[in-house]
Amino acid sequence: MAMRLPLPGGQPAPPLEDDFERDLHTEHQLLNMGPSHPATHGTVKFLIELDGESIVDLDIQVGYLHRGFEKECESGTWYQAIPYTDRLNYNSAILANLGYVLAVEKLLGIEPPERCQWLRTLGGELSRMGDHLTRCGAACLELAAMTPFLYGIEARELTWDLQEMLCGARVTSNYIRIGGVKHDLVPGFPAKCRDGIAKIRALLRDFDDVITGNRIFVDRLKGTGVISREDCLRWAVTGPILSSTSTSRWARWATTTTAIWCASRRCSRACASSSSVSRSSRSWARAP
Amino acid sequence: MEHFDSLALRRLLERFPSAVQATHAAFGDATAQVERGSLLEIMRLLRDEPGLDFEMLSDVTAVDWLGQEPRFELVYHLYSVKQNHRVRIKSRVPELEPEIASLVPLWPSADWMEREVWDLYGIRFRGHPDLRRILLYEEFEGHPLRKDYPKEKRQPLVGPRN
Repeated sequence: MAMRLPLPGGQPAPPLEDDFERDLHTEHQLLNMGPSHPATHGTVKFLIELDGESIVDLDIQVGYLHRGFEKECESGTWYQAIPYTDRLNYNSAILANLGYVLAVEKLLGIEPPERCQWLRTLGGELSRMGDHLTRCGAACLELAAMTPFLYGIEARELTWDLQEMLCGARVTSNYIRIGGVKHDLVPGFPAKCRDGIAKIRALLRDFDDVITGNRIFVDRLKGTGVISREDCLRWAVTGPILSSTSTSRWARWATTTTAIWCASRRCSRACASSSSVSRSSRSWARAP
Repeated sequence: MEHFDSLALRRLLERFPSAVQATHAAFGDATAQVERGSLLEIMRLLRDEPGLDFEMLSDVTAVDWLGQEPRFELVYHLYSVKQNHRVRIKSRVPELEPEIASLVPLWPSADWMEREVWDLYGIRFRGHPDLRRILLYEEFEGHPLRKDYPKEKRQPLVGPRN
């Protein structure tokens, strides 16, 4: 402890600790983060109440990117709603097309021909892969790891090249149609697709080498953002996060309710039926 | 009324014969239309009854049947991961008193979804802990997903400048 000089008049000085604690006024700090903040991938505003470095309360304001698609769709035809679904998630537009179109087909009682269902599955899988590659890469970027992000984006670009061959657009695909798809594969697609997938696999290996098991990556993420199975269900959290809370394979399947799985299930049913040949010989695609 | 081989509908018809107004299973989706006063009890039964186990409230939305009375229809989608089954519950609320019990006490996931329905359809949820607009700003007038809200209408918070 530092030497303390006696106060004038010879009174002993109070202990040092009291000096620090006396009149030390603290209060929670309100911090506005966003709505356009470099750390958020899009516009969202966080109103954060801080006690030092701990968040004690958080109000998330999500409306800045609301585009009113539902209202726009009110005045359009069912067909005209498809391009809006492209823009719901720019990373997996074909899957968003498919979700909407499957609902319309269910209402109308339409079963698209077998070849179409496989084309949808193909497009959906490309879309899904591109989405995962972007997201996993971006997740590394949040941890200040630039390299895996570039691997992920390079692989994502390969899936987008294939999507471009499939439907003419890299991002807003507008590929799936009610009762079918926009058009058939262009010549040369299968070879290009095999080539692209091989390159993506190689990039994924690089990604895996640099991230999975990486000491910094594991240290930063282990034990972070843990959510229990009960909380997942109460908050209606589905997908990979819900699957991660269970080791049961059945539970994983039960929550895999993606449209792509429905499509492939319907496809295998179509393959099993003997009339599938005659069905697929019907007109299954619109003229491009 | 029929239960269409759905365990959830069968239980509802046994326990709440007067509150369940109609059932159907169009396109394979079991649906019950219930009286709005009994919504909370019905939802509690669906969540807690062994064998039903609807642990998840997947979606809350509404339909504006402009010109009909009661005008609004709340639509709830429930899912059980444990049993891998679903049920859809609908309930009508009148235009003059667009209000229904909040499901936040049963499923916290109802919080934001009910705020969205309040924001866009103007239906109030009794017992909701924080019923504010979620997508639009506080100064916004009206509820844009109502069918009588014109699509072309604009009400920008900051007007155009030269």
